Order: sequence, then C-alpha cells, then structure tokens
Amino acid sequence: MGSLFRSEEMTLAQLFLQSEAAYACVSELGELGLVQFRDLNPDVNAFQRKFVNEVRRCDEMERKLRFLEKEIRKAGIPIVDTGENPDAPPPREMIDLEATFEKLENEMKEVNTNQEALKRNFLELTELKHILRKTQSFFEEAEFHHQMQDPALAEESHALLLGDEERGGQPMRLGFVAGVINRERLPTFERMLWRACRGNVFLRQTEIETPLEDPVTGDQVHKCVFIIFFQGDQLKSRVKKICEGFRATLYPCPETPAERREMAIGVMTRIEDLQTVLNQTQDHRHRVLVSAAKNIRVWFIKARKIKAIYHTLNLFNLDVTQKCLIAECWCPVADLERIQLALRRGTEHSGSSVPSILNRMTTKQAPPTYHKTNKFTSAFQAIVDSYGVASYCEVNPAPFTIITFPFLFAVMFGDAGHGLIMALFGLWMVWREKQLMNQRKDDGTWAIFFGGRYIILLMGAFSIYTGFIYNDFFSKSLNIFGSSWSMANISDEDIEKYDMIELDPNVTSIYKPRSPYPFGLDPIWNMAENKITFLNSFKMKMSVILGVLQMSFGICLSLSNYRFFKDPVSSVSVFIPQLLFLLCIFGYMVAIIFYKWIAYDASISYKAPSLLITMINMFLFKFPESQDDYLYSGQKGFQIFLVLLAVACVPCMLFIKPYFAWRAHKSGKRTFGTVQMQVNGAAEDTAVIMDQDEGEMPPPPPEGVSGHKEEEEFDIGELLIYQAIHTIEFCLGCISHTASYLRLWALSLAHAQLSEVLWSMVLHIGLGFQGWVGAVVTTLVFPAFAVLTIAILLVMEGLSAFLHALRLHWVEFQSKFYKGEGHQFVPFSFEALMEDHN
Amino acid sequence: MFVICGPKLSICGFIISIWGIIMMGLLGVFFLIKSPLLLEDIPATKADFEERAKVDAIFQQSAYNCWVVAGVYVFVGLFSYFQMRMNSRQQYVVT
Repeated sequence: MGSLFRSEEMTLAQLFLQSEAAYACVSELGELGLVQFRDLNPDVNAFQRKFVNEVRRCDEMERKLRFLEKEIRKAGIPIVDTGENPDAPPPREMIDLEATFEKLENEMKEVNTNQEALKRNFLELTELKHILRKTQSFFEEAEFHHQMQDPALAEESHALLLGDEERGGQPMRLGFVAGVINRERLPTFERMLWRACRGNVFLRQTEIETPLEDPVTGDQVHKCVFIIFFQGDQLKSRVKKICEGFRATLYPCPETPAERREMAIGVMTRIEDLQTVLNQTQDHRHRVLVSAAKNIRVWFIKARKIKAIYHTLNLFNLDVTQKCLIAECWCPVADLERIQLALRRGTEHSGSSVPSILNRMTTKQAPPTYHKTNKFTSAFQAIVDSYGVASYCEVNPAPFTIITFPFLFAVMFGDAGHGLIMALFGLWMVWREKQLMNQRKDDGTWAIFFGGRYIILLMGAFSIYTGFIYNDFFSKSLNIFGSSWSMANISDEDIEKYDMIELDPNVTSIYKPRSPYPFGLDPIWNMAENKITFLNSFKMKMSVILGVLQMSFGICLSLSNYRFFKDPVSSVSVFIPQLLFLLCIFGYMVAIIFYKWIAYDASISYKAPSLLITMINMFLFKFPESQDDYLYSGQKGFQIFLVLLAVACVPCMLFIKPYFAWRAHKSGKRTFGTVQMQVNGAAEDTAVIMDQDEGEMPPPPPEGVSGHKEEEEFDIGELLIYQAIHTIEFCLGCISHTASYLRLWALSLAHAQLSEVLWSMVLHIGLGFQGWVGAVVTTLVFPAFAVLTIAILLVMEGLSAFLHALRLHWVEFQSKFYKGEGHQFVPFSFEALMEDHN
Repeated sequence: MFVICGPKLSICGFIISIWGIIMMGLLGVFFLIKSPLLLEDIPATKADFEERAKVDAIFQQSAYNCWVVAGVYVFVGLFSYFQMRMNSRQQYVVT
C-alpha cells in the first residue's frame, strides 16, 4: 500500500511486444489494471487502424448477445450471475464464439418467424370457428326476413323491370359474406355500409367474448363477427371493397347448415393440432433461451474483454520490421515488478519465444496522478478529487480530510441523538457491505449514500462526541456528572415572587468554584434564558480557533510541497511571510481568546475588555488610557510590534520571489532535462534502469523558478503581476476565510434551534396531555416526530452541514497549499470496464 | 398469514418501533427521577406547582405514559418484524 501523502511516482515506459504475444500480454495487463496506455496514433481515423476488423467482429458479437439478452428478458427467464470472471479468450477461440452466437441468433430468428406464422394461422382458425358458431342464428333470421320482405321487394324494385311472370313470390337468392372485424371499428363500418349501399344491405353482428391474440404485437383485441346480406353482384363487390378498407377479414362460409357443421368439426380438429404445435414451438424456444441464459453473462464479459484488448492494440505502433508492436504507457514505479511478471505470463501463454521488453523513458510531460486507496480511503479521496485532481506528487489533502472533515461536520451537527442514528445507519451499511454491493440497486441516491458509508459512519461517530460536548440529545441535556450550579440556597419567597432568577456564579453556594462540569456543557444551561447568548460567544470563539488552526496547518503543508519540489526561494519568500502574516494577526487573536478565558474569572469578568475592540484598536493604533482596559502588561508594545511585522511581510511576498527569478534568468541557468529514450540491447524482459541518480527519477521541474521553457518567454512584468495577485488574494483571504469559519457557529446554532423546535412543537403535544390520554396521543405523535427528525434534522441538516464542511475544506483549507491541476491515472483495467457496463 | 404492509412500510415500522421503545423507555426513566430539564414537558398548570406532591404525581404519571407507549411499540415492532418476514418469504415463492 503506497503512501497517501503524495501521489505515486510514475514513469513513462515503452513496451516492445512481439506480434503474437501482444494479445496475451495486453490481456494480462488488463487483468492487472496498472498501466495507462497512450494513443500513439492520434491522427489515424478509427476505420484505418490496424485491428479495425477484429473490433468490428467484436461489435457484431455484442449485438448478437444483446439480441439474445432481449429475448431472454422477454421470456422472463432469470439471468444468473455467478460472479465468475473469465479471462479473455485467445483469438482462435473468438471464431468459435462467433459461430456459436451466429447459430443461436439464427435459431432464435427462425423460431420467432415460425411462431408468428403459426399464431396467425391459429387466429384465422379461431375466427372461423366463432363465425361458424354465431352465424347459425343469422341465417335463420335472414330466411324469416326474406319471407317477410319478399312481397315488398317484388313490388318496388321489380315492378317496372321485370315482367308479370316474375311476380308471384319467386324466392330471391340473397348473397352474403361473413367475417370478423375489430370491435372499435364496427359502428363506423356499419354507417359506411349503409351510406355506400344506400341501405340495401343487411348487417348482423355479434361480439366474440374472449379477446384474441394479435400475432404480431401479442396484444389482446376484441373482435366481432358480422354477416352481410345483399343482392346482386354490384353490391357484393362494393361490400367487399368496404370490408377491405376496414381491414375486416372475410371467411368463406357454407350456406347449408349441414356443411357448416362439417366445417366446424374440421376447424376444431385443426385448431387442436395447431395448439399442440404451438406449445411445442414455445417449449423449444424456452429451452434454447434457458441454455443461452446460463452462459450469457460469461459471453458478455469475454466479448467485452476481447473488444477492449483490440481497442488497446489499436493504440500501438507497428515498428519498422513489422514484427513487433511498440506501446507507450504510464505506470507506477513501485509496481514495475508486477508488470514485468504479467508480461512474462503473457508471453508464456502465447507460446512465443521472444520475451517482451519494458523500457523506462524520461519526459517533460506531467505524469498522471495515482493515489493508492482502499475501500475506506477511496471515499475521502473522491471528495478531494471532485475539487481537482492533485498535481503530480503534490501533497494530498485526503489523509487529513479523513479526520478533519467529519470533525468539522460534527461541530456543525452537534447532537448526540442524531449522531447516534447516523452512526448506526453507517454501521449497518458497513456491516452488510458485501450483501449490499451484490444487490446492486440501480437507484442513484442509494448509490451515493452507500458509496459514502465510511464517511457517514465517521460523521455520526464524531457527532456523538460533539453532542456530548454541547450536551445535546434531541435538544435535551443529560446531567451525567451532577451540575455545578445549585439552587439550594435561594429562598422560597424569592422563588415565589420572581419569574426569573439570576444565578450569580460569584456566590459560592450557587456555583462551586474550581469544580466545573467535567466534560461538556453544564446541563443547567438547557434551562437558562441566556443560553444562546452564552453559547454564541463560546461557539464563535471556537470556530475562529479551529479555522486559524486549519489554515496554519495548510500553510505548513505548502512548505512541505516547496521542499519536495526543491524550491528554496519559495520556502523563504512565500511560506515564511504567509505564516507570519496569519499568525501575527489571527494567531494573536486566538492567543488572546485563550488568555481571556484563562485569566478572567467570574469576579472580575465585568472588567474584561472586548477582544473584537482590542483587535480593531490594534490596527488603528488606538490604546486605552486606564490600566484596567489592558489584557496584560506590555500589550501596547507587543501589539505595535506584531502589526509592523505583519505589514512588513507583505512586500516580502510581493517582491522577493520575482527578484530571485530575475537574477536567475540573468545568470542564464540552463533548461532542465529533455525527452530521452533509452533502449538498451538487453534481451531479457527486465526493466532497463536509467543510469541516473541510482535509477531515481529526477523530480519534475520545480514550479517556482520559471524561465525554463525558452529564454525569450521570461517576462518580469507578468511575474510581478502574478505575485501581486497571489499576495492580495492571500492577505484578503486570511480575513475573509477566518470569518467564513464562523459558519461552524451558525450551523450548529441552527441545528440546535431546529431540534428544540421539533421537540417543543411535536413531541411536547403528546406529553402535554393529562392522565392516560397522554399515552394514546404520544403513541400517535411519536412516529411524526421520528419521521420529521429524520427528514429535517438528519437529511436536510446533514446535507447542509456536509456541504459547508466540504466548502471549508475546498476553499479555506486547500487554497493555502493545493494546486489541483493534475490529471487522473486511468489504467487499462477489465475490472473498471465491467463496472462501467454495469 | 397475510401480508398487510409492503416491504418498505414494514421495515420503516420496525425501525421506528425500535427507536420508540428505546427512547420512550429512557424518557420514562427520566420522568421517574424527576429530571428538572423535563419540567416544561409535564402537563402541569401554574396552580399545580404550589404543591410538591402534586408535581411528583404528575411526573410519575408522565413516566407511566411513556412506558405504555414503549409497550405499544413493542407490539408494533413485533408486528412489523412479522410482516417483514412474510414479505421476504413471499419474494421467494413468487419467482
């Protein structure tokens, strides 16, 4: 486990891989997940790269797999995830996989088409069956009507056209068509028929009770059986056209009842046969899908790995002899051994005799930043990286954030009851880590909470601690050690007469001197009217103390940076004046806060001078006349000295560094190293160590001394302006950031008040009823109290305190030393790839 | 037996019940020892404060109330736990 204090030392390495061994080596490196490959063909089109065919084949495989997955999901078969992680298969196996997928896809497609055809057939037969059943009654009606209407028909339409011998009741043959139509279309259909045929057709319809399955979409539709009686061929063609238009299916229906009965029997048998065939087809399809579902996860992983490997191989260069591939990659120096081993394994797997070579290179490019984290530290590293990835080898704020972040959160949250709930929640998530990770809920909010489980646990634990300090449990205080204040000697008549009693700590019977409440706030303050006044003073001072401490620590970390990057000029000209400026003004303020707390007790507290006024007067050089208004003797001289020292720091910050740079430029220092390639002839696959400083990389060019690029670029004006901006930013930032830390006070006050309001407005209702009614009401009120506590005080206030603690870290703390201009190390890793897809 | 509450409701009920049992139990104890910090939370009028014994009785009554509530939540908790079991069992059966 590398150190979290600075990012890992990285090196640019060159890999020489033999063409046959390349695939296996990249596969091994992907499993290892420690190298980040650079694209050596950036201006080559994606379609012109060497392995574009293989990538295309992989895409095809993935498409087939996705089709199969969709079919499996449609059939409702569960896909079992065994958690197996197969290695990337060798290229020759790819052909086998492709064949398998092709076969499966074709089979599925065939089965699907067959099933569709069968279903259509089935639908037709079913409709025919319904028609045959329902039309029996129609025909009987039609005969009756025909008998009735015949004389009228004969008179009207045939009186003129036909001769006298046609009269006399020759039964007119009515033609008919029978069919099935969607229920929704029926009214319009009827109306259309009526209009188009001028009322000379006769429609009868009845509904089919059971809905029928549409073969294409699989929906259930309601249909109706209809039969249309007409006379003559013209009407017949008209009726047929209308039916076509309304997409009604017509069926041949025999006229005589005997024929109809025969047909019905035939249809029934055919339906039964078809049903059997359909069932068998369904079974077959199901079996195919089940067997596919067993392997589909593994296939997906294999296909994705192959594709990833070929994508990576596309980044490589083919060398002149066309026999080996050259790759450039960033890798951590500490892990070179493991990379060598992986390369050796890959070469062995592929059966190649020529070993792969790894060379280290020097370069002026900034390497990527790589922090080795585990599941605990990765969450904190993530919140630091959200602001900006650390520059290469810069001091990493994350290890300090692990403690300071939950602590500042807790200062703002400060309730032991709420902290306990939060800690228990975090504890449950940590305890059930493995199970919850496997459940893999896709809900984004849950994922955020689960990812920060260690943060939540720590925040809760620290909140319990600060809850004890503020003596706040769901807004009530606990009297654990016995309060130091006592009402024992207040006379009864005083208690009766006055609504409010002032307890004077100077009186020994009221307050025992030299025996304060051992840990935390005395519980009597919970009942005091001036509780907030007292706490305000305490919390404000505490916030400023914490702020100045954190900022000074930040400045000290910047010294660590200057020393690592071998920048002595900055160490002297930036660090020392910055630290002195901060300490002379705000460090002094912290000192007199402590002094005032210690030096003044209850008897002389009325004489204590205000610290804020003292600080303001310090800068106005205004000094009080009477000796009482001084905190300590010699204050006048000391304060003048501090102010002058602080003011003197400012020109140091402004001018020293540019002056040194200008001097260095004048004496013509050479530029730093250039890109060197070292290819030694050694055929072993050991890393070729550069012969420079016992194989240590020279530290990257120091950021402070400029003028390293080209001689002409040195501009003293630019440097002065940059330094001036930096100085002003720092000096004004000192004041504003110190004031910004007062949010620690503000939020803890808000939280305490909200908590109190929730108790007195919600739970108090339940407790305020006399007698046993109180129990009933409290039973109903308590869930409301619980839900509101969680929603308002834990979630809302928790997020708020989280945000403000984060802001304090990102702006106030990190602006003192953190550049955050690096880029993240993104290694080629199958694990990361699979996680992305899931 | 039947599943009356869904999975989420039963888990919520279970957690609130546990919280209720612990908090109401402790609150009852604090009422019993007549903690002065709970002075504002008892249903006593100004007239009641004349007599010491009356205030003591009110404290005791509040303590009993809290324990009754804790007792009710024991049953609610058991019921929710039972529902949780039913829900998880149903999940196995349906698939």
